Amino acid sequence: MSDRLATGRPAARGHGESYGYLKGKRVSEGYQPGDPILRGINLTKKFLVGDGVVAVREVTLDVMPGEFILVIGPSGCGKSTLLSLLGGLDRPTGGEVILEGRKYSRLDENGLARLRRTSVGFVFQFFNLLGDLTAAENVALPMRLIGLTDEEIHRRTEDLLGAVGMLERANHSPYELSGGEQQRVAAARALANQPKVVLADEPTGNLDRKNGLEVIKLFKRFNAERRQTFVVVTHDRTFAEFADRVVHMEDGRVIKVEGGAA
Amino acid sequence: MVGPGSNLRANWERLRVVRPLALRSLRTRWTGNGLIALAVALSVTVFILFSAYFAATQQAVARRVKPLDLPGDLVVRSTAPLGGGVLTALARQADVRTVRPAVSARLLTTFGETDVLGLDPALLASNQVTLTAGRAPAAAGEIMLPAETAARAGLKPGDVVGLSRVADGQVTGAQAVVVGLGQSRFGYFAGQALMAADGLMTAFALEPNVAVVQADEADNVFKVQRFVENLTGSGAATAGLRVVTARSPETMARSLVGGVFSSGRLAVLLAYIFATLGVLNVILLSFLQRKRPLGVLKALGFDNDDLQAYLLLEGTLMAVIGLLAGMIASGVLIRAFNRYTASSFLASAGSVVTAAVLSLALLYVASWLPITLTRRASVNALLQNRRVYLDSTSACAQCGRCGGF
Amino acid sequence: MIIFRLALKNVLKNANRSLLAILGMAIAAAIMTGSISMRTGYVNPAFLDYRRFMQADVVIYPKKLHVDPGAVRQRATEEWETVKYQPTFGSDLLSLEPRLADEGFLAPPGGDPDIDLAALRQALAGRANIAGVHPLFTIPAMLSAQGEGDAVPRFYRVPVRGEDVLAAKSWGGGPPIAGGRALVPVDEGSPHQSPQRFALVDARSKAHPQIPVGSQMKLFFPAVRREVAGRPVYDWSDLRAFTFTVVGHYQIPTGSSPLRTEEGLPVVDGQEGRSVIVPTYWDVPDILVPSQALAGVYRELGGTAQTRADQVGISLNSMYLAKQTAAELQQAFPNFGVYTVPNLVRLAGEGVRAIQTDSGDIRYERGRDQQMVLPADLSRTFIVLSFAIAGLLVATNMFILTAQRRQEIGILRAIGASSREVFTLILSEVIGLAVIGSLAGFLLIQLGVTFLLFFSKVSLAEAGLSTLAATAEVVGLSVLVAVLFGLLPAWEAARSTTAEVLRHE
Ligand SMILES: Nc1ncnc2c1ncn2[C@@H]1O[C@H](COP(=O)(O)OP(=O)(O)OP(=O)(O)O)[C@@H](O)[C@H]1O
Ligand SMILES: [Mg+2]
Repeated sequence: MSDRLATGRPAARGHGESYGYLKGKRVSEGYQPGDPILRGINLTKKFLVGDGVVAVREVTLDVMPGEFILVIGPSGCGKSTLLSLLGGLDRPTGGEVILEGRKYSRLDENGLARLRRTSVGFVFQFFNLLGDLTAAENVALPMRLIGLTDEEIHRRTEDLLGAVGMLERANHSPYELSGGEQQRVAAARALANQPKVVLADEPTGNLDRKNGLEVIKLFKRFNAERRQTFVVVTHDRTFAEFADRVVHMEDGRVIKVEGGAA
Repeated sequence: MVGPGSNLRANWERLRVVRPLALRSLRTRWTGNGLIALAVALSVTVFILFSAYFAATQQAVARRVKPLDLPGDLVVRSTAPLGGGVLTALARQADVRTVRPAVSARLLTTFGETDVLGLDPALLASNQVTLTAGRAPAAAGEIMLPAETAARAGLKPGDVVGLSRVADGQVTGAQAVVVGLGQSRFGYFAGQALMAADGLMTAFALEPNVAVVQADEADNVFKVQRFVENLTGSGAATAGLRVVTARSPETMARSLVGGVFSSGRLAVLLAYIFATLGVLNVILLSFLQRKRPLGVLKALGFDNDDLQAYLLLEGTLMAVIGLLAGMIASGVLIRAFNRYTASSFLASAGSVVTAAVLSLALLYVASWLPITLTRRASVNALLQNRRVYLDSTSACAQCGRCGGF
Repeated sequence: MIIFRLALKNVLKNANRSLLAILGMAIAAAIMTGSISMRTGYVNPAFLDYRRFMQADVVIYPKKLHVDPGAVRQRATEEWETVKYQPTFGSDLLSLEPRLADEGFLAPPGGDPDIDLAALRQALAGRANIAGVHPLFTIPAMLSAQGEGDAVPRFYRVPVRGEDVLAAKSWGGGPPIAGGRALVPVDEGSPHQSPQRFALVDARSKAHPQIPVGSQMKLFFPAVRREVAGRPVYDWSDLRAFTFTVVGHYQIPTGSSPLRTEEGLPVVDGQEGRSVIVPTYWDVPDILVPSQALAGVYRELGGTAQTRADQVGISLNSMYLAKQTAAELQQAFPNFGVYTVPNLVRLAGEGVRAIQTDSGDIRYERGRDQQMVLPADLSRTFIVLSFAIAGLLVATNMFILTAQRRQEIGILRAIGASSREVFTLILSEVIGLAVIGSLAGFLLIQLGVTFLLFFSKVSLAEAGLSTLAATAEVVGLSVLVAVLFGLLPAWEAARSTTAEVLRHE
């Protein structure tokens, strides 16, 4: 056991609880059910271009398990940056992100990758399906990563594609799908490993109103049925009706939070 | 399970995940990947053809070389006296039957400057010395001349010749009577006059500088040769110790061909360097075109080792295809050359294996940059198709003089 | 036209990648230019000191002692044998390559034992580019010299060599003299009229004690016992003494080398901490005397005239054609070894090492451990190869260039550029890069070659013509390769449709 700690590698990939170690320290400490599942504390992100752009300024955000949060703000206010910090796609220049008690700052790159593998799902504005793979293969990919058996993968893929209404198009290449269809496949992929938290960056930005609404409803359904937590960035204020809380951002700061207990 | 076993398993798992991805991109990106295969195939072909040509030439030359005629299985000689150590060491060696001390000296004579070989009288009387007149020298003060030398100098059996030797600024003189004319068959000592070893050594106060060695069996000659060569290496023997066997010219011929082909080796090396640069370009390109998908994979939870395995697997598959193509191409070419021209190329398993190792090395060297870039790039940079830098510290990105990738 | 302007702008914009493509092309062109100029011949100053010393641009030896694998493989019956030079063999080869006498070398059968000068002169008469024939004559001698700490003079075996070149000043540049003066024509005066004889000794040879400039030196020559077919048989029991005045010390530089100790460790400068580099010299033990004087000595020893030699130097009108002339001579005299001096010296004298002895002196040693060989002519393969792979480099670079500009190409096509125009755009870029690259590589090497040509006897027209021919060959081939390899990416780019390109982003 001590060897394993020293090398910072898990014994084998998959199935669960070894998210990564850094310098021999267990990073998950003292998480109680009922605590916020995802916490951003004093998050700051500064880009070193020109005189330096501060995209996110000392943002603190607690996301409770099962919550559906909408982030709204003008273009360039730092929404995408905040989301990538919360998902561990980028590291903050200041502050800390904690997912289920695991501090991102204590995880190395591979630790973060393993965390994304199981605990966080992403949906992007530009779908970002892998063009080399079919819809079903795209959905199956994260499950392969955690080493599920082929039958299990097959079962779950059908399940997910059915849930997003894409079962008939399972063996199509993304190039053969419309934007809305691609986004639904992307959503299925994000949900593949049943992550506790799903982060979506303008998932409806490239879709028309009807398709956009469908995607949001899909999210809401998963939120309701499977108690998965959603943080969705959008420009569309009309989606506010689906949200437990709406976070308003401007110039890198959270200026207002609507709804919820807070 | 801790240790290499678990590592192996983890890597196997990794391969299982990335294999379908790699196979798929081979199909979708055939031009770039084809170029990798082409570069590998070209360099493999060049390498195998060159090695085959080299091996064939070496063999052809070695086959044309006449073996040396020697008074024994081996002749050990030195520019300085051999010393008792070498002689006793040789005599004690298990595979040696006889060791006969001999001496070779350069003398100034009444018939010009010449090298004289002093041998054991038994060897002098053997059938390896062909007489045209008189008899072989048996005692001190007797000399046998090559017939041609005697003819030029106008000497005949019974004539007395003067011999002298210059060493350390001192001149020593002696006389000898010509007892015979003829030819020794000792090609290595061709043209040398022959005397009895003891007589020559006492006349000029010489120590043996040649040892004529007979091995117990023909098969053991090589063993004895190695033994003497090791003596030289250990410093136990005098400097300038050389072993000569019947096959020495062959060895010389082989090294000669090596010298002739040294410029060819340079060409092959250059081919590999250029090919590496070409493959580097292609892989870099494939990285540049795939930043987004790579970012997606990272976002989905592929760790750096997964991505490395993915990129390497893809390249390795191409390299293997290139390797096979190169092997087939060189096989066909060698066959064609051997059939339609007078040349005979010799392909060896060794060169094929070396070509394989070299082409894999080529691939891994060429993959270093794209893989490192992939590892160092942040997920966001990849996803947003931004420039990535080898050193992702802000200072490097800030400077940006290299422009990033 | 707009297409070409765009191409130019792109080349400039992607400067570092374009640079890589240009570099690949330049390297290939440089190799090619180098091979072409090597093929033609040597520039005049090459190995000037050796050429002065050997009195020749091309040297002929009686045995062919280089291996030509191609020839061996064609003539399937040829058997190579081990040959050793006898001590009576009088040529520079033995000091260039002592192992030829010591251990022997491989040679094709049927070489001549020596060179018949009359026959050679006749065969050479009327051949182009031959300026003169200089047989080398040496007489073996015993030098009696008293070194420091010697109570009595000691004896050293030295070759005495007839030397015209240092006397004749027609070779340009000064003779390689380390002290005193060179031999001059009056030194050659008839030995019967002037009892004084003059000589040069090597400034560095360790074969005998150093003899100061201006001092007298006693040499004992063996009498000529017989002359058989123009070659002497010397009788060493009958020595004749001659006295020579040492007028100077000569030295033959070979380059430079890091100084090493006897153990092979580099000698380091105590103050600067850098290893010491010293000039290296060929330490020939030969004593040089005017050849007329040597001929006089030979007569006094009882000889008449030597009509056979072991080494003949041939001076050429144009060193630029040296290689070609040497090849022609080799063909005419298949049993002789024919070498250009640069080649010979490079092959035999390569790697002279400087070694610091325990007493602080510097000793020179040759490091070669192999029989001399002539490199097989692999240069053609070399050229083709370097170009094929440089072409690959260009092709992959073009792939990157086009890949990075897919969007631009898509937009071009969207605003109405035909696939032909896109094709032209990419191809003109490829050709532009190839021409720039190959010109750069070509100029780099050719400038050096032309510079050297100016200092040689080659006429301007000759040099200009060869330069033009090489330019055409190198640049023409480069462009051909570039076009061949540029077709693929150009086709790729032209093929891509607007939609495909603009799909992402
Ligand atoms: N990698 C980067 N390098 C430099 N500046 C960046 C980078 N990423 C984002 N920025 C800057 O940070 C600020 C916030 O960007 P971000 O993408 O988070 O905005 P956003 O709220 O998502 O905008 P939009 O609604 O247009 O997507 C912007 O001013 C942007 O220019
Ligand atoms: Mg955004």
